[in-house]
This record gives sequence, structure tokens and C-alpha cells, in this order.
Amino acid sequence: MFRSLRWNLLGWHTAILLAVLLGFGWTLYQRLQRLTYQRVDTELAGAAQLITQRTRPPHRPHGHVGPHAEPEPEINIPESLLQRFGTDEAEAAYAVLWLRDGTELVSAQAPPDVPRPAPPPRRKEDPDRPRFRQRGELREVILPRRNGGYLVVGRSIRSEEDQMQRLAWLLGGTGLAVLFIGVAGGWLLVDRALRPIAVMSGTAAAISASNLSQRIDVAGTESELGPLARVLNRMLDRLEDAFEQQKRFTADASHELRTPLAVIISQAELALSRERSTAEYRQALATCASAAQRMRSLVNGLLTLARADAGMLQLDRAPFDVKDCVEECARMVAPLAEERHIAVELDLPEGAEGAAGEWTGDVQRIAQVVTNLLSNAIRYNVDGGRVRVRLTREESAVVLAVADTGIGIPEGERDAIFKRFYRVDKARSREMGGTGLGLAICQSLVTAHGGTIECASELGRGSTFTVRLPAEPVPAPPPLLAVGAER
Amino acid sequence: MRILVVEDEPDLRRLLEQALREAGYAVDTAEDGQTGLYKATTWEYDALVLDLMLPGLSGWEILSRLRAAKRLVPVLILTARDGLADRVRGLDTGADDYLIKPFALAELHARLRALIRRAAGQASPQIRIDDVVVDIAARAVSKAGEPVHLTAREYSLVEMLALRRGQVVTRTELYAHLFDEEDDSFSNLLDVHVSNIRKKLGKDFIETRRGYGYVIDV
Repeated sequence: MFRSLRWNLLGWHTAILLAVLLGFGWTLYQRLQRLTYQRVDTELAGAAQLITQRTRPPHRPHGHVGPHAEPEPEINIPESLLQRFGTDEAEAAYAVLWLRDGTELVSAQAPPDVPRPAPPPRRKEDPDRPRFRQRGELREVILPRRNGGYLVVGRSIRSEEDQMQRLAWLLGGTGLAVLFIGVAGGWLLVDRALRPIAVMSGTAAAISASNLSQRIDVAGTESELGPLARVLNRMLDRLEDAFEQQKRFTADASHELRTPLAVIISQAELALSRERSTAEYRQALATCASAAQRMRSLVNGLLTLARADAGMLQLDRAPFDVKDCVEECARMVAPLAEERHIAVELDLPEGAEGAAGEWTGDVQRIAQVVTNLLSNAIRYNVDGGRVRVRLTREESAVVLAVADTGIGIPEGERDAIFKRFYRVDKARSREMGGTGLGLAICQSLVTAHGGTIECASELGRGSTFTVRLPAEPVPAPPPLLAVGAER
Repeated sequence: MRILVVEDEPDLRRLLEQALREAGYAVDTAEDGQTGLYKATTWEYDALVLDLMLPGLSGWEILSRLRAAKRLVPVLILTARDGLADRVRGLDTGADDYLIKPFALAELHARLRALIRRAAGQASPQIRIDDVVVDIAARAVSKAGEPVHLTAREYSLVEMLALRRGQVVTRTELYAHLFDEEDDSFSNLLDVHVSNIRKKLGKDFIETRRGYGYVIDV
């Protein structure tokens, strides 16, 4: 829980706030403390100056300043100067004066045993400068007298220290309150910032395979999260699409496989339900055999497609002559064409310029594609129509075009015909014994060879399927989706 | 009992037709949606066996148009679509039963018998008329405990009159339900069947309402 984004953000927020508050409080406290002491020092120094002036020994024009001078006249500390600091015992100022001869003069409020100041360090440039010292809660200024001796003026700074103490408490309390409010505010902000994410993840969690139609509400999300929501929604669109295709494919495959199965089972049951004539048994077995045959071609087709989807299609690549391959395929479909009086014209030019010649690939698979396209061109043709096969070599590809004069494909269905189990005319396809997988398999095989297959068609005039096989074998792109045409 | 089979797979259509005929039904077939809807709305059927994936009109469409036209004929959907959503949709569109391919012929027969029986408002598979018992499940008739052999046509006639016991069934209705479009029957054939039944089950078993029809057990 504490590793979550919420706690992370809140932790950083609190740490920064704490650092700011501590820095601010500490600086403020230090600064105020310094100012307070400075004020006290200035006052004490001022008083000391005044006392020094009042207690200055009389001026002597010829006098020598030195240890052997005559004793000083009577000096009194002017108490009135000290009284302006207040008469309260706690904060009353005091003065102690050491004369040159060692006499110690003490003011009224002075605490006992004020130590005589030590002489200033030698290196001090200006020995007359006031020095300050702290003795417990007493602050004292030491001013050397011009003719020897010292004046010490001091007072208690307990009230100032109490004040600083109160200030410290005030700062600490305020700081804590600010910290508390800041952290609470930070919590609210983090919560507000994370709520759209929580909503999004809630929606995403509610989306399952059976319920892919839900989408994240883009209108309600903050501007930075909007793109994320849209990206997620687009991903969901694709996912739903893929699932939908998968579902349709499964339903179709199940339907296609169950129908011949139903024929076999029902036929067997019916034949066995009573004694039949030999002709009837023969008929029943023929029906079962043809249904089984259809299942076999369906299963083979589905297996090929499944292997292609999984990228497991084994291609025995070897050089072969495409022209020979096409001629062989045309011979195979010749009986079918003859039956319907359809002329199959091969346009396979010889020679360096037009010849397709050698190409490297799996000859079996390419033959499967060509046969499929040829038999489609015959099946969906008109009686007495034509099929024209043209093989050319373009700069970087072998191009095979199979054109028929058949019924054509409606414009909206030209991409759909490569989908599994898609049939433009279901009744006709069934009549022709099609599995609905032929073009899907063609596309898979061509794609596995790195090529493309396209369809151009004019309704009522015929269709042309163009297969483009790259001269340099290209590794097949990885399969995108397990199901459906990638077009 | 006359049944319409709407199925686009030729082998299966032929099989269903043969199986149902051998079970004594009169059977019509349709190979696509339009033909199926036309026949279902034109003739009187006792039950419809309907595929869903049909060229032309889908099975669902046939069903909803049939129900919109207030046709009450019992419909059994026979399809390879086994998804829950498909089954629910089929039944909610107005189907009375749903059977998934591949299926056992025995189950198809049983379901059709149940559909026809319930459509006639008969809950029990055995109908007792005096000492004659018509067992719809076994497609057999017995009199005073002794089994009586009837031809498929005769049985169908008895079953139909027994299911609508006490009601007069017109000759037109009998023709419509007992013979399919391939039967090339003459009107007097019905009288031949009735007289054969009377010989087997007793003279008064079927009463004639002259110029109108027949009735059992008033």
C-alpha cells in the first residue's frame, strides 16, 4: 500500500513541506534572536558610554597617564542612568566599575561576585572597543577605562529569553498546524489527481472478454489523462474487434464442421433404422463419404490457417520455374473448365524480358494458391466464359494475374472475400463445394512468402486476382491476429 | 401430420425428408429462406424444422415474419449454432424448441411429437378413447389391449382426429395435414383410409359429418 503512487506523492509532499517549514522557522528564530541580543547589547553599550562619560576623571593638562599617577577623585556610579532599564529586580541593570587602583565600585542592583574582566587580547587593534560576555542569563558589556580599569554594565536577559522561548513555541505550533493542513490539502490534491485514474482502472477492470463494449469516459478525464484514456479506448476497440472476429470465426468453423457431421450421423442412423436395399446402403455410404471428404478439406484448411497464424507454416523453399508451376495447375483444373466450356488462356511469355523464370519458394504452396485462384475463376464464371492467366516479372517481383469473365464481386465485399468463411453467395458456394476458406488460405500462403494478393472486380464483368511475389525472399511479417484477414 | 423442413445443406435436407417420411409424416422441403417463408405462410403445417444460416432470408427472419403473420405453427430450430445467445435469441424470436447439429434422429422425432402434441393441447402421450388407446410416442394403436396394425397414413389420420378429439376436422384440413405437395392423391383416398380404420377399430370409431368432415368420440 505504501508503495502506491498516492503514498509516494504524499510522502514527497510532506517531506518538502517539512523542509520548508523547518528552514523558515529556523531562519526566523535565529534572525529574531540575533536582533534581540543586538538590541540588548546596543542599550548596554549606550549606558556604558554614558556612565564612562559621567565618571571620567577630571582633565589634567600636565598629567601623566600611568601607574604612578595620583589617586583618582571620588567617583559615583550614576544610578539614574541604570534605572531606565526598569527597576524590577529581574531586569534591572547594574554596573561595576574597577578603578585603576583596583577599587571596585558596585551599583545598587548588582549581583554579587561579578568577576573582574580579563584584559583584552593583545592582538585586538582597538582595546577601547566594548566587549560583551554572557554569564548565565546575565548579559554584560565590558568597556575599558581610558586610564585603566574596566566598567562592566549588565543586566538579566531572562525576559528576552522568555520571549524567544515563546516565539519558539509559537513557531513550532504554527509550523505543526501548517504541516497538518498542508498534508491534508496534499491528500485531497493527490486524491483529486488520482481519482480519474481510479475511475479508469475501475472501468478497465470491469471490462472482460464477455463485456468488451464498455469504454472509458473521455469527457470526464483531466486534460493530461485524456490521451491515455483515448489510447486505452482505441486498444479496447481493437481488442473487441479481435474478439468479435474470433467469436465469429469459432461460430463459423463450428457451423461448417457440424453440418457434415450431422449428415454423417443422421445418414448412418437412418440407414441402420431398418433393413435397406443394397442401393440404399450404397447411397447412404456415398453421402457419408462425401460429407467426410468435405470435413477433411475443412480440417486441412483450418490447420493450414492455424499454422500460418501461429507462424508455424513450414515452407520448403527451393528454386523452381513459376511458369511450369502455372502450366501444371492449369492442366489440373482443365476438366473443371471443360465441363463448363470455359477457355483458360495462359499468357506466359518466354524470353529475358517477360519471363518469370526461376523463383525461390515452396512450390507446393504456390501451386495450391494458383490452383485455388484458377478453380475460383472457373467456379464463379459464366458458362462459356474465359479465364486469362498472365505472368510477368516486374523489377522486384513476380506478378501473377488471374482474370475471369464471371459474376464479379460487389464493391463492398472485395476485402471481405479474404475473410474466413466469407461467401458472397452462400448457396452458390455450397453448390460448388467450396469451404469458404480458399481465399483466406491463399492470402496466408502468399503472405508467408512475403507477397501480397489483391482483388479488382467489376460487377457482372469479372474479377482479377493479382499475386505479387517478391523476387528476393522476404521474411513473413509476424502474424498480427490469430483470426481474420489482416486487410 | 405435415412438416416443413427448411435446410440449405442438400444432403441433410434429403436425409431429414427421408427420415421424417419413414416416420409417417408428410414432408415438404425448402432450400432457402424465401421458399421456406413462402411455403410456411401458404400451407398449413403441423411443425416446422428450421435451419438458421440460410441463403436469402435467415432462419430468424423467417421466424419473426411467421410470428408477425400470426402463424402459430410449432417451430423447431435445427442448427449448428450452439451459442447460448443464439439459443436464447431463437427461442425468444418465437421458436418452440432448439436442437443442435449434429443430433440424434430419435431425439428429433421425440421433440417433433412433443411439439405437435402440445400444440394440440394434449399433455399426455397416450390418448384413450373407450377401449382404443392411441400411443403418440410409440406411434401405435391398440384396441382392448391388443395391438392393431395401421399403415402410416391410417395412423396419422387416427392421431390427428384423436388429438382434436370431440372436434369436427374438415376434409380440407385432413388433406392439408396428411399429404405433402408430392402426394398426388384423389379425394376419395381419404374415404378409403377411413373405411380401413373402421374395419380395424370398429364401425363407430370415426363418425362422418357428411359434406363436412370427420370426428372421433363426441
